Amino acid sequence: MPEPDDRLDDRLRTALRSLDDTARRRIRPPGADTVPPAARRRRGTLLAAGAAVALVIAGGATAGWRFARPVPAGAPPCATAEGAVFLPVDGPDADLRARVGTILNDSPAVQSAYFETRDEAWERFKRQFTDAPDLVAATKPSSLPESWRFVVRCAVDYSSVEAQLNAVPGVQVVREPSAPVRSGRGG
Amino acid sequence: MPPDFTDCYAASFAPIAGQLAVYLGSVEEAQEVTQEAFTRAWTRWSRIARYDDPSAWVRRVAWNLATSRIRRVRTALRHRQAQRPEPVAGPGPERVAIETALAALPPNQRRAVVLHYLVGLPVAEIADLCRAREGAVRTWLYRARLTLAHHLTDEVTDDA
Repeated sequence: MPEPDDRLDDRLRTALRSLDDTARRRIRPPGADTVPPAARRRRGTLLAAGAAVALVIAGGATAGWRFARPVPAGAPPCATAEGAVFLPVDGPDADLRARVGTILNDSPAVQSAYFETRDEAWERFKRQFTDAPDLVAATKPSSLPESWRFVVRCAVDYSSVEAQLNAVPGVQVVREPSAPVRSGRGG
Repeated sequence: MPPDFTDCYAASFAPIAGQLAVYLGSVEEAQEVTQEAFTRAWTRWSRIARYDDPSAWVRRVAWNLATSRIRRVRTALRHRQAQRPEPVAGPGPERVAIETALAALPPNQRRAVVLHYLVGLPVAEIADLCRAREGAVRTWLYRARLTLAHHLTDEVTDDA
């Protein structure tokens, strides 16, 4: 037998509020102070895609600082994955930069890579945040890390490249967020 | 950090994330999406802070992110997997019934139901948020109510 609309609506609201209450008891906000660093990381990793595109357009450039290798003939098509290797902010550290560059250059899974200096990072940061002058004013160029931006030709190979890079002490490897959030293995 | 951002975060995070958890069927995903929305708000805060209700901007972005996420994954499956019994304040049969029924609804209908009955938005605002016509939202709500009414009635006849 159909119910009066109002009664059903009330029951729906009550049941949904109950679900909401249960969910809220389990919510643990990470805190407002975690937002600015997350915004910087997000912006930084988003830049990787643009850098990779610029790199491909520019073609081969100075060896060691940027490179792009052609896709092997007959290679099956696959989705790429992009990442960034952030060097410590207390750098610059030429040895560390070269060490990461060598790993990327030696890995056949890596299609292209590009090194972003602190000055380049700062210029890009200012451009990206023209609508957030407070953020720019609160940030110093010295707080932006140098980074290698790289593209793995097939996303399935990303985790092995990442593992090699993570073996280098002091660097932070971040995957570009537009790629699948969870790799499904390893965690 | 501007105090108004901190205040907005403190006041709005849990309400937004709680409502999204009902929509997504996952507290963890709801938190991730809410944090991402606040991150996006932060990068434009000088502008958003001037709005009448900055939290409305965050909520809109969070809901859009959640919907994009639903399109990528089969949330309905996870909904069911997430329904492990919880040792919290005795879930009544009504709550269990609606949780099951919500999980089975198409995402458009589930979104409309949560926005209308939990968030309390009028049809016009839901249409705006979902970039749909008001008629479509009314249809989603109508169909969802039919389904939910059926589930609720089934579940509570034993008690009645």
